[in-house]
Amino acid sequence: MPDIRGQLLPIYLLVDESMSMGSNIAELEAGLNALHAALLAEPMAAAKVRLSVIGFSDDAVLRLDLADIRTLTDLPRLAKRGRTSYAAAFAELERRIPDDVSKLKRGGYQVHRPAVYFLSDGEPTDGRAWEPIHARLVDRARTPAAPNIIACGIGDADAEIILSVATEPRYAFIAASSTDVGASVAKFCVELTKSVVKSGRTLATGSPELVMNPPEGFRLVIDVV
Amino acid sequence: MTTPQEIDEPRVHNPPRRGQWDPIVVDRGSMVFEPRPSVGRVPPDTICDGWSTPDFTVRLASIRGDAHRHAGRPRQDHAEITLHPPTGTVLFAVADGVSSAPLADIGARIAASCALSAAWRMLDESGTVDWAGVVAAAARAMLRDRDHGLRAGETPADVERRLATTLVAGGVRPGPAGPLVSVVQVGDSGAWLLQDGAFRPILRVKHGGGGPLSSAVEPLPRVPVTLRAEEVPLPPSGVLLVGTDGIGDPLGDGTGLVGSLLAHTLAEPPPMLGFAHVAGFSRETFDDDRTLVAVWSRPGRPR
Repeated sequence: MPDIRGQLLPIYLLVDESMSMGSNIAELEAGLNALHAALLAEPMAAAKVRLSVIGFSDDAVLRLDLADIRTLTDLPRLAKRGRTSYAAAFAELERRIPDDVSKLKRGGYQVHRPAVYFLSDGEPTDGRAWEPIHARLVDRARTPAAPNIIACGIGDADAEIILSVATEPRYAFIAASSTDVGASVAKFCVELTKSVVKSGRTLATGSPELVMNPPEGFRLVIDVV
Repeated sequence: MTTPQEIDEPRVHNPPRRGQWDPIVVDRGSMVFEPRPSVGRVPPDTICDGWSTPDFTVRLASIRGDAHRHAGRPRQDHAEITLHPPTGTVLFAVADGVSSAPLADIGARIAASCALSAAWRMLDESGTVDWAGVVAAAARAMLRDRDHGLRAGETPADVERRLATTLVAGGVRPGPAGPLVSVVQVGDSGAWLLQDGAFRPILRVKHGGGGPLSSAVEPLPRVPVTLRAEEVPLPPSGVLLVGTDGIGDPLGDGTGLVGSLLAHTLAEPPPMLGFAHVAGFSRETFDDDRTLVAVWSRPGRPR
């Protein structure tokens, strides 16, 4: 083992860019700005996080690649486009996570289990094609750096599917159907920021778990289905 | 003071030397700030201790990590050392309160203090120490603590949620064949033998595998079903190091910059405050509490 330059938590925001997100894309970008500002105010937590943002619709596009928030000046723009391919989203993670973890390790870092925050406003438009890809991604025997996935559904997202995406029932949240989708995106971003900052703060202090509280107006899926 | 970011090649900045009290920075340091007080809690930011007997020199430092300093939270590590004069045994206990437990700092103090008392009492009564018994005594003390132990209707799991802590307890005893180290472990704090610049782990190490890091531990007052003390001789040129993961994580296998810093500065016993200065080095992302106990043998010194 060479010199250990630090211990890092790779975080992936996997966000729906399908057409149905409409003007809510702007809410999401505002949320990313708030996350950036919150981490700049917590430089010690920020030092332990590397942030990637992936937008998915018909395909998945890397908007931000393992960024050290402290040195980031330009935040990524998201784009509303196409349909909702969960398969494209998880295939991108399946490809990217092992490579990213290897890259960080080659840089002298030790790496915590990656955390994925998934946000979608609809059912997958590619049926069940995503399921085997997701299964491989979260199988710790097959993917040693298999991520923890926190899944949040808004708008027309299906509660059962969101529950299947999350790696644990306590990581699956669904917005009440009566809630305005733009407001749900904003509330998601508030809890996302708290969760990321808390994860950065508590790494290496004996707190073993990724924690996210239900965003305002969201419920745990297991309380719904 | 050199700005670490100015230089790409990882190295130690502000290395320890006489009169150099700037933080020792390994590669890139943590942020620079004035610590916030941990209001309403007793433990001071840093404690250090140290002394010599005819057989050994001992140093201890327990230091609040930058994360707790920045958040105004108390140091959750604790350590104590003592001497059992009739046998010349140095006894030590090192505890790392689990941060998810709200009173982990108190749990660490109870566990370390009671482990040391139990070991001392056993040595006094029978001349030997049952280290599994010492761990059991520490766990019992946590459960029976008047203010924070078991309350009506509670189970030990409730006390664990409140007080959880790791513990490494042990002793170094002089003997005709040379000093013998005995040490027992609950959780992920560690012990190493530093000799000829290399760090040999005496206890189970935290990140042995190639998978992702995990900070999950099984802490006191839960007592492991199988608990066995490790025994190793302390060679004349060796140093026994016992530390929490605030030391163990940046140390790794000891072949990096932190290993080189510790090997260089601990080859001989530094002054007590110098020992705390070294253990309090700054390195980016390593902002956990740090506790380190070191024991050097003093062969050939007159009793």
